[in-house]
Amino acid sequence: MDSFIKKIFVVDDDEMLSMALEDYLCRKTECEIHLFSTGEECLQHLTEQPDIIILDYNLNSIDKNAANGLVILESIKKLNGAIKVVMLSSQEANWIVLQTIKMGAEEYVVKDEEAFEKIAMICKSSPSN
Amino acid sequence: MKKILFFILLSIPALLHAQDNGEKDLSGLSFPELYKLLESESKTLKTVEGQNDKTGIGRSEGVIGNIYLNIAKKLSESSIQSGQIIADKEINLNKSIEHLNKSIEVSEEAGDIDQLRMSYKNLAAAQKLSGNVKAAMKTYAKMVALKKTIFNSKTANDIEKKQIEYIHDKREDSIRKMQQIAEEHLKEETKKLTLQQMQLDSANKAANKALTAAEIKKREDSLTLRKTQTDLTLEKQNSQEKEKKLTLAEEEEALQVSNNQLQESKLKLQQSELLLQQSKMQIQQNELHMKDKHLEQQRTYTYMGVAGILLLVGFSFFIIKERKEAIQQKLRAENSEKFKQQFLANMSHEIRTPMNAISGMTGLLIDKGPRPDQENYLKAISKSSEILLHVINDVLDLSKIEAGKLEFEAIDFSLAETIQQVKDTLSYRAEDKGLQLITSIASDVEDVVVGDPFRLNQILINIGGNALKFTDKGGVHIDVTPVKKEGGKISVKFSVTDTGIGIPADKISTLFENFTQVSSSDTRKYGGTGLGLSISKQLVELQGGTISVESTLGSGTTFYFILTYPIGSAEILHKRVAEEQNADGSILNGLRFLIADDNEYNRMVINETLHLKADVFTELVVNGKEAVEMVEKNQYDIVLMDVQMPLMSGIEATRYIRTLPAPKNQIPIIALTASVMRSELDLCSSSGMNGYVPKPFKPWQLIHTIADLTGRTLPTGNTKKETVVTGNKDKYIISENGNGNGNGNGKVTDLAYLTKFCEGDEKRIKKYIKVYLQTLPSFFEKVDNAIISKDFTELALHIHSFKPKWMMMGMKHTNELGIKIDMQCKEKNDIAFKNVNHLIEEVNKSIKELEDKC
Repeated sequence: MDSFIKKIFVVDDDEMLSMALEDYLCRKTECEIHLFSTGEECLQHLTEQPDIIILDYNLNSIDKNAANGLVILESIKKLNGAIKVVMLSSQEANWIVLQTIKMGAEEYVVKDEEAFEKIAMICKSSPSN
Repeated sequence: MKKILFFILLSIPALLHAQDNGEKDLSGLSFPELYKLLESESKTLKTVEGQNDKTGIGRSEGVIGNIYLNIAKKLSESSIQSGQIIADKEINLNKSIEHLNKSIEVSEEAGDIDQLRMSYKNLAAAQKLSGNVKAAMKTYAKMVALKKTIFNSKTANDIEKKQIEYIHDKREDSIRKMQQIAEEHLKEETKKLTLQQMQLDSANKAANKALTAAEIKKREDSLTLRKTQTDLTLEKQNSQEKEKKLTLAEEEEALQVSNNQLQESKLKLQQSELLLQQSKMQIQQNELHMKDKHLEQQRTYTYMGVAGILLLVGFSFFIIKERKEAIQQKLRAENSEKFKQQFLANMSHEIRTPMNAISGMTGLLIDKGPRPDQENYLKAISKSSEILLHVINDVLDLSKIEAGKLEFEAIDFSLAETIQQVKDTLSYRAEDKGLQLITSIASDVEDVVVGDPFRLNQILINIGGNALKFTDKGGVHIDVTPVKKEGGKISVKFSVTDTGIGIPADKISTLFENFTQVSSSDTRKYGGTGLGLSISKQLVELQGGTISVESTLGSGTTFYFILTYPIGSAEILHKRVAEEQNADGSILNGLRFLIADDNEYNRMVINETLHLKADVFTELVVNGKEAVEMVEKNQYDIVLMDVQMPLMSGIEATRYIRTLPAPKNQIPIIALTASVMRSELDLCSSSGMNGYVPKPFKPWQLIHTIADLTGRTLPTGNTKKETVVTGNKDKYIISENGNGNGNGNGKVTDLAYLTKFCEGDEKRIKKYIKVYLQTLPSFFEKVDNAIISKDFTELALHIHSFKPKWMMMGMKHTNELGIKIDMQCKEKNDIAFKNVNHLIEEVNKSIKELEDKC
């Protein structure tokens, strides 16, 4: 178990989900959670050096012009390849999911009932930077 | 001319209605009768000749001719055709022809058409009988022509005569008239003369009277007067006479002219007569031509008919031949099918029997605790034999599928476990290539379903293996997602996605065919038999599923297949698993076995396995005959009988054993069979066998079957080892019934999850509910916009984004509906909009249900 408190970014435009995830993670893990509703926002704060970024694939359901998860993923990896990225997706075409892995996402989690548990586990188990 | 026409018109009906008058039918008369007739008719002839009655002559000659003809006919009908008779016949025929010709000649002159026709008829008959067919036909033609002529010579002559008479009469009339006129003129003149004379006399008297007055002068005057008067009268007379002469001359001239006219018209008449005759002849000729043509036509028709018949005959022979060949071909094909199947069945047996030995022995060795290095070797052997078996199974599968004999299991199994097994199997290959292998199952997929896990495993390993094979970097993702749930069944979509080399678009269509690989170099580079995809496709489709592929060259490929399973029970699954794992043979302790197998190694395997697993007594025999003898002699609890053995097969032995006296005939017999054909298994059971164990077998299979048949129940109970379900091809139908909910109590929401998530914290729960409700207005708006603009992408997007929220609120059914709509939007199916209405209904319901919670 780590002694460091991990910094976790949660990037999702679904307000309720972000809220719930934050809630859950705060309870289940010793982590510092930051919420962002757009990928661009997240990128702007990348200098804060998070350990884990939990990145939703569909980031443009509210703001059409927002870049979607894949693009943000790419940018993150370019800017700081050490950050572990966990992709969140609900029933996306597996094709795209695999693309995320190709682009370097470490994990992906499907938005189902166990999602939160899985994410919590990932956050707990992965080493911090 | 009008009179002539009128006459002609009158005569036509008469001619047309002319019938053969009642010519006596002489054919029934005897020779004496005929000769009598001949005599009497000859007399008649003489009479009419004397009277110069042309009609009568014509008739008489005709009758005589007919009599001679009949005599000749009778002679020809005589059964004795001696030279004398033939000669007689000829004489009579000649006479007949002679008289008939005469009759024709005279009748023609007399204009007796009826007789003419009859005589022609008889003449033709006579000519025919004498063998002169040509003449007969000509005569016949004349006769026919006769019928049709409107003018005959007599009538024409009559007409001519009448015409001449008429003209003559007319001319005489006119001459008479002119003479009359001349006479009248003369009469008038003489009248005039007398009048004048009277006038003269009176003048004379007057002159005489005048004389007395002046006699001398007067006498002179009167003399001169008289002179002049007489001169005058003379002159008058002269001139009158001249006039008379003139008129007479004129009349004569007129007569001449009319004479000339008459001559002219006579000539014209003659000309038209000629023309008539010419056209008559023409008609006759034409008719003869037609006759000829008719004959020719008939001839050609006959030729054609004959040719046609020949053709038909030839054709029908051909067709019969073809049919025979077709039937033969069919038989040959059927035979070759049977042969193929038999061959494969034999091959299967021949291959599986030694395979059985290999895997059995290897298993035994491993069980006996070998050295580590030995264990490695053994594992390698085991693995290789597995692979070999796998290839054989592929081939056999294909043949089974083609024969329609492939069957699927229907057992409760865990999807997660199956996927895990697939992952385990493939992970080595993935690791070797440095590729990622990810598997995932959606949470709303039922874990336990009823179906065939082995085939599912086979398909996934085939497709997954291919994916790994054709990928050099990145990885493979196997994903399991639900498509729909209905009526206790769940349709599951299995997708295998890779980041490999992809498949060119033009190869996709042939992908699932046997033996195809994308390029021939693939075989060398990547290996494989090329059967896997074809078999996978068949396996999917035989279970009523669908399979498809998407690929981008250079980027990767995704294979999808959807299968529908009834939802299973975890309980049953666990029972089965427990049983399998419990390959503890101790249940079989104490049993006495008879093992019959002609193969030494197979015997060894079974024997050793049994002894390893339990404490039992076994005896071994090598064929059916020995098996029967042993059963008769000794006591056993159960017989393990190989099916194919020499001398007496397992089947025969079983049949024999079943005829033994009780209780020996009741002994349980298990078939040990390498066969994969249903037909053989049926044969086993029909011969009296109670169960079967396949070769190669797993120990637990053997133990269970034995336990079953020897009445030893296992602690965890029994499950059917083989429920045979032949793959069906029912298409699965998406029902468009969007109503209802999944929560059983009429509600769309279920706060169980939320409660758990918030750990019972009411405040938190309320908070989430509030957030959910707050996001609804914008959701409705966006969805409405999407519906109005019929934008499938928009609709899908918004519905999609709401799914986690429904999940939070426990709105399972709404979530499922959302998935359905998502799919329909992808297909651009208008039904999505209908379903959206249902969805909105449910969302509204959820509002009502949740409103009072916060």
